[in-house]
Amino acid sequence: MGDSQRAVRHGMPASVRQALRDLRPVPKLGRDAWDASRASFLAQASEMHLSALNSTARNDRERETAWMPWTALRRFALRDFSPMAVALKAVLVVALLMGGSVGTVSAARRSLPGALLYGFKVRLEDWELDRAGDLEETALVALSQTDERVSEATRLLRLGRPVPQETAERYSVQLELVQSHAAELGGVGPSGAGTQIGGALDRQLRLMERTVANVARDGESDPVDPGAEAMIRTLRAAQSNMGPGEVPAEIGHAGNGPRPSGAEAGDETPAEGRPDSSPGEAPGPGEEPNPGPDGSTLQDRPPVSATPSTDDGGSPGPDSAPSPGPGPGSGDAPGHGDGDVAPGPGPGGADDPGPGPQGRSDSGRS
Amino acid sequence: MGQGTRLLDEARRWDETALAEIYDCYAPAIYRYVYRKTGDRDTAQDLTAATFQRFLEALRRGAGPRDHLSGWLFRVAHNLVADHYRKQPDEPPIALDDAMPTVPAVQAETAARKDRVERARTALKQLTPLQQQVLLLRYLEGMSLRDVAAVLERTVGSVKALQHRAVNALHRVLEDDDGG
Repeated sequence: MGDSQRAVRHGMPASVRQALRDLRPVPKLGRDAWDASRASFLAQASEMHLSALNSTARNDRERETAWMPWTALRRFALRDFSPMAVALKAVLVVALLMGGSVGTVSAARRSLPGALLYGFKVRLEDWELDRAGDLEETALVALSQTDERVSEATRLLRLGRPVPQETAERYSVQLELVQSHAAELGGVGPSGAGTQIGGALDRQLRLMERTVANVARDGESDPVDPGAEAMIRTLRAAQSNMGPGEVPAEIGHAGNGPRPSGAEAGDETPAEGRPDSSPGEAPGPGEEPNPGPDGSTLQDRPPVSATPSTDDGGSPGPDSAPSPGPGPGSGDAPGHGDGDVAPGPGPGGADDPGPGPQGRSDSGRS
Repeated sequence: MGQGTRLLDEARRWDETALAEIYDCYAPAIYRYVYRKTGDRDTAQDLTAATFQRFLEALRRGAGPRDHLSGWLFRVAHNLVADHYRKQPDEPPIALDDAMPTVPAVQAETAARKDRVERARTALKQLTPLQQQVLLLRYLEGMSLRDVAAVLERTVGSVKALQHRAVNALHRVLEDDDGG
């Protein structure tokens, strides 16, 4: 006790002094107890130190990367759960899913046999066929799918790749479907499906033959592709099966004799507006642009199917399909399609009894 | 720079030696202070540990004492004791006549001493918290007026006045107790 305290206590009442004296003794803790308490305190300190270090490092990292877009995005995605953020995230997810779906479908539509998404394309076509309601709609959907097979075959041939047998078989099956429905429709229908079918087959045959001829000419000694040959055979058989009564007038060229087909098609006069057209050259009698019943040209009419054709980027040139049907603004116009599937032949001039064939060029359908 | 300030600076850098030194220097005093207020060894040990845990948490937050480490620790201890009593309200003291069996003379002396201690502690508890702190720190911990002033965050003059009132108050309580 210090002197000052003694002095203070000197004047302190006895009872207070005694009470303080009574309060003085404190039971001593054993050495072990103090050691244990001390060790516990230091362990706590060590733990908190580590925790503080980690926290500092994390804060530093977050501060350094906070400005980076991915960090902000991660923070938004994983940590922000405010109602507005949740709503925004939901919209983003839906948009991503829709965008992804549309992108996948679009990529699948453009795919060629052997591509990763081709299987999806085939299933999509099957689904479209299943979805088609009546006889005529089914026929038109199947017809657009045969167009797509021909487009695939010609693109493959131009790329120097063989046409797979599966493509030829699928083409055959689809063509049979078209034929069977055409037979039932008898060449007519609410929107003239039977007429369109005949024109489309003729167009497909000419395109296939011309492409095969061009490829053979470029490759000289290359043999004809078996897949393409099978498709041409199937097409010819289909045309011969469709009797004159089933083949529309413009295909059979009723009154004008049979229309040149096959290799002869390559000699057709190019339509107006084509880069290889001669100035002032008029289309032949059967090659005039033919407006439909509503006065529209083929390109003005809506596509039969939602199935977009593909465009391999080729530009029309001397080897492109001639456009015997529609004239100006045809699907073969520069910058529009490659002319793989040329617009159908124009109806047989003044003799044309019905609507013009729904010839669909790539551009017309895309 | 004083010893306490140096220790504090090193403790803020989580220096283990400094932390150990702080514990060795202040823990016994805190333990005694808490024991005199509670009269229970285990409670005193627990609240002493809690006081030093608060100290570490303050260091982690970058808070805690700036200079008067001793004063900061006693304040925390005092608050912890107050919290302790709030959570566990006082039970009425048990009358020794009823609770204690007949015992030999030595044990009777021990019991009488315990009774005196208990009466003193009960009397002390009837003072205001500040008066209790002044008496405990000044007379039982032997702190100077300046140190007590630092603990209580008051001026030395204020502590002197507080000390005077505390002694008088305790005297009155003890007289009343004897008279009752």
